[in-house]
Amino acid sequence: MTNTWILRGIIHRKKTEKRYDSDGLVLTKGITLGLPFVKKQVSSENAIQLVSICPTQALVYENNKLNVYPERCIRCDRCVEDNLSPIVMTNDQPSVRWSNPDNSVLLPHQFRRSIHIRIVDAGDCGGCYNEVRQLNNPFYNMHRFGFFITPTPRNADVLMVVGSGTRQMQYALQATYEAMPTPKIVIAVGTCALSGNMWSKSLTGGTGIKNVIPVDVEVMGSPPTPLTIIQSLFSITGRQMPASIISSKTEPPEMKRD
Amino acid sequence: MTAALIMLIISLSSCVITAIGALLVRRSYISHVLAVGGSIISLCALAAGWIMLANPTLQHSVSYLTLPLAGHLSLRLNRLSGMFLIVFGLVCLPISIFSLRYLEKMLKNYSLRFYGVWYSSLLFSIVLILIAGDIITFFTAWELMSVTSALLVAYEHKNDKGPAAGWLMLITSETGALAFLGSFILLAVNAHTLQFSGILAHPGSFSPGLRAIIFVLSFFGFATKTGLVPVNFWLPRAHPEAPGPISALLSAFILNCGIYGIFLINVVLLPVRSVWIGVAVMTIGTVTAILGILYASISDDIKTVLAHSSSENMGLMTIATGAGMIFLASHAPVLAGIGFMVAIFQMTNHSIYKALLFLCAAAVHRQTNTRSLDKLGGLIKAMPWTSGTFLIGALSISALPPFSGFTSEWLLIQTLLQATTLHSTALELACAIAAVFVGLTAALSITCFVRVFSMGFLGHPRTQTAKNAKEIPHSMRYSLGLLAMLCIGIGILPTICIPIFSRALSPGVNSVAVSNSLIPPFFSQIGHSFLNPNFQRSFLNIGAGIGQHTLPGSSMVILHQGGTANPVTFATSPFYGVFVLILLLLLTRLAVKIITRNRTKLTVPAWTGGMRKLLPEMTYTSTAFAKPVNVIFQSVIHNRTVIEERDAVHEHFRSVIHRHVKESHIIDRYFLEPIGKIVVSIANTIAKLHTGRIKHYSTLVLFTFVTTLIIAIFV
Repeated sequence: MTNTWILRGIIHRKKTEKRYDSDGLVLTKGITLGLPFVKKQVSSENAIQLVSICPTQALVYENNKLNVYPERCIRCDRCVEDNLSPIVMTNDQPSVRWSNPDNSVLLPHQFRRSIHIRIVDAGDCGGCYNEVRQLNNPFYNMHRFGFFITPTPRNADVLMVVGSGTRQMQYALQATYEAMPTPKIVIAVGTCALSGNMWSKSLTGGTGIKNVIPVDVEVMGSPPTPLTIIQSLFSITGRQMPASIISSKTEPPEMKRD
Repeated sequence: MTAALIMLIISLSSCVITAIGALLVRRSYISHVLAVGGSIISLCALAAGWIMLANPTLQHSVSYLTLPLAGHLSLRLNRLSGMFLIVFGLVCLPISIFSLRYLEKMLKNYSLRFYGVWYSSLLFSIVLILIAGDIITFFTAWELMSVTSALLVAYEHKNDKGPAAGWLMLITSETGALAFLGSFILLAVNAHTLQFSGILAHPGSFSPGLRAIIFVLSFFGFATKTGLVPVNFWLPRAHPEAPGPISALLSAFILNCGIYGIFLINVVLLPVRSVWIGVAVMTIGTVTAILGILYASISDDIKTVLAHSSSENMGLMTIATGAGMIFLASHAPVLAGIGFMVAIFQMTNHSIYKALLFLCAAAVHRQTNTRSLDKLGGLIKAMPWTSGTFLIGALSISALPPFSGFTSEWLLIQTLLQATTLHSTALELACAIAAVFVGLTAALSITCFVRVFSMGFLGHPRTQTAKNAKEIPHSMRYSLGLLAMLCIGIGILPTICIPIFSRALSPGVNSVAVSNSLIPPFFSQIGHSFLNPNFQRSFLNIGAGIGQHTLPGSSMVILHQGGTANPVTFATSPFYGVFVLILLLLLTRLAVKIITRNRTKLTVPAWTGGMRKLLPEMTYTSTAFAKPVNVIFQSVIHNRTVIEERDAVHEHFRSVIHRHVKESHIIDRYFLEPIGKIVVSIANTIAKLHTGRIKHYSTLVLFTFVTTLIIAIFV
């Protein structure tokens, strides 16, 4: 069997995705609906009705105000099905953010050019992990930026976690985190890793990995696009401080259990 | 010489006394008798060997018995036997001390009386082989050695494999003995005497064809004992089954008897004249070395690993001997001397470190009741003394610089590279290929012994017995320590050992020239004529002459000078190398400390892949470690599926699938099994005569009777 990859590469030339658009802005878009955003405030009955149809309590009615917490949203589209809905899905919202407002998330300058990443699947459905896997394919080609995947936490600078942190994976996650040398950064990828998603109500499903290990960078989306994940890696190496990273946030209220 | 003779007589008579003592004393004291007797035998042999080696005259014959038809039976004391006796003494002394406490384990199941008799007979026969002065003495002693060693291998007869291994060893050994007896008879017929000294003095005339026949017969005969391809199949089967001290003695010395025989016939009695004999010997040695180490790297049983590795070392010695024969036949006596000297050097090294490794394996077997590397592990905590000495032995056998194996293997490769002085492209090519294979063998032996040490002694204990192992008693520790010190001593000071080895060389070689060409007298003589003055000055500039006014002896540098054809000079100095090594280690440690002084040190548990508890069975096993070698050399090894069992519930739901894959030995495939098939087919053909009908048998009887009558009438 002849290998046609070289020939293909010559014919089709570069297939790698661009990270910048024509205006020089950082691209984080992919095939995704984006994040929910409250366009306008509505009456309390409508708001409570909207809150009741949200399966993951991403919509919260508090202090006579309808708030949306995108780290809980799973893009089920229930709230935006109605054209008159106050919620819109938009790609303008930032989807990568730091847990701490200060610069402690940044790795030291020695890690500016190259970092090694250990990926742990802490019980995800396969969606987020699929996106993480795309990072190494010819289209996204993470290697060109100096980001490498390593099989052992002993060599890793960054721990990238997908999945909700199920009970069975909590020990392994903890052990992986402890086995990493300092300085170390934890990136939580996807809604499950941030809040536990649908199964946060269950006994063993896990309520996000922040209850297990400290999270430094949150990548929102269910799943997030590969370019967004690459964006988060750029941010922790300090090579790029895109506008989409906000350094302050409000904690969502405690999740109600049935 | 009289002193040597007295020592030898003491040695031989103490063998007899030990045997009688073992028969007479109480059961629990037999091991003491054997230890004391063995020590006296080996010390006397050591002293006799030393006297014989130091003697300026090359040989001395003593007649002890006169038989009516065969004439005198004699002992022949010479320097070569002296060298072998020294090695025997050095190896046998620790083995005897070791067996004092080791035999306690066997005492529970077996009576040690006949063990004692056979052990002393074995020692007796070994000493007699080395000093035999005529063919009858040599052959009788050889037969005694073959039979007693087979009996000792089969001594633990309550397990199934022991007797089978003993039989196999005996059959191979007897076949070999018959073959070399043929060559001896041819020699004796041509020289009209049975004495070695007579053959040496008047060898008679030999046609090239007769020389070739003598070479083939004798080489095949002694190769069966030495364990060369294709007759080394008994070696990995017999050595693991023997009791610990016996397998050490087998591997460390009895294999050398074959080398002694090859030296005796092809170098001393009838020096080779054809380079092609040398090339053949070298080829066989190369194949043996590479196959031996290949199978050593994948075997699981620690003693099998060591047995295969013995085969490899015998191959290396044979390569050196072959190179010596090539140089001897091409009239380069100094290089030939270096070749034979390397063979003796390698033999001494191998005897010492292999005795050490086999005794360590026996100690491990005694304390844990298992020899499987997959079931050991973590012994360095439980048995630090054994593990430390094993490490020294493993480093020596891997030919790493400050230990004993390094210099001999280095000299072997350099000697092979000196073939460029012969001006023959074919010989240069043959020697270069052999050198490449020696390099590959050295690399594989490092893999092999890294595996044995790391899987057997490091890591977690994989079984409960390995976990509960205790350190061996003191007397055993001392014997291991003695051998380990010899390994380090020869490794650091080869320049003192090389003149000793070169003294043992055959009459055609000037031993002083050999040792001077390798160890130029830097210290004792300034401005000597062995080296070009400019060259010598450049050598002194880099520190070869450090301490020339204080140090005794000739030099601390081993040198291999090329001629005009290859103006390259190879030199090494293990003695200075040790200091450089220590200095480098200290500097590296200092540098690491300085570089990492500001780092925060984090102490966390071992990374276990996220498992809650790391079970010892999950750790890297020796089989897994051997896998790359197994895959790379798959075309040689040919793994076979031996057993495939399926346990099923209600015939449909499989619960367990057992699958055992076993490597097959290439000699078994292409040599042993075809022979087996031929023998079986012959037997089947003969079996057709046995019809079971009385009339057929009576016809056969009648036929035999008539044939006998015809023969009686006409012949």
